Amino acid sequence: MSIQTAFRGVALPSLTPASSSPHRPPRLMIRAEVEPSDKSVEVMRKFSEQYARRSGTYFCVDKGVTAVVIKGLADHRDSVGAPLCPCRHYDDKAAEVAQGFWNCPCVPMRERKECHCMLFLTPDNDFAGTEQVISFEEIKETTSKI
Amino acid sequence: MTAGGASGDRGSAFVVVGLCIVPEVSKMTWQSLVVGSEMPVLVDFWAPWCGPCRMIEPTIVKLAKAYEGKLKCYKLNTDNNPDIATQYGIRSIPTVMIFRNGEKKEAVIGAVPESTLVSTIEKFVAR
Repeated sequence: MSIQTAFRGVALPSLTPASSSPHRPPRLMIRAEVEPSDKSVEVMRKFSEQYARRSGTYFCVDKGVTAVVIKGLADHRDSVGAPLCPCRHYDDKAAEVAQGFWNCPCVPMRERKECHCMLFLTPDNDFAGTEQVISFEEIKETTSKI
Repeated sequence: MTAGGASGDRGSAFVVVGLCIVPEVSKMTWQSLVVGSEMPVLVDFWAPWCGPCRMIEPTIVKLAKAYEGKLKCYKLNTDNNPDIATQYGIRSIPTVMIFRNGEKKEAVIGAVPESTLVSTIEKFVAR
């Protein structure tokens, strides 16, 4: 993976946690492979497109990677109330949400354009594609076979 | 640099690397499969909604075949086995760890190229 250039990030405010939705309490049990809600997928899809444009980054040349990560963010939005990075292991997800460091866009992304989840890639990254858009159908389609 | 996909024409169209599956290790089998293994062990710590984990998996499949008899390869779902992931200090995923004699020897973080994993593995397998 390419070495990212430091200190040229774009600081944008984090998304508002979705913890206010009373009809979906956090899942506390070990989760099965549950699909995130369509609503959260759509929210995170729109956020991803917008943030890619505003930060001058691009989606992975393999849009399947993009789709999986967007679903992961949506899943965390549903289960813990905020889009925690799905490419990390947390000892305590609730504490991480409150702390905010790994809520997307995470601090390394906001400060240095470093997204180890490969959702937002700078143009010099070997895996960067040329697109900043992904449709809801594309997300469903590319994640239906896994 | 490639993502280690199952590319390349090698004769039969029916030889599909992607169909091979790296066996799962869990909390229940960790002791016997990893800690108690006579052979060095590679463990791919992954999670279902982690994009780069999908990119590295074909590479792990390939390496499991290439080092058959010298290295055991498993994958561990960190969502289903959080205790093990926490015990070994997993933060970023994917993380690939090499174990020998039950001890963690090295960790490689991220969807790295195949060559990076090969040079790590070579330090620990018998020639």
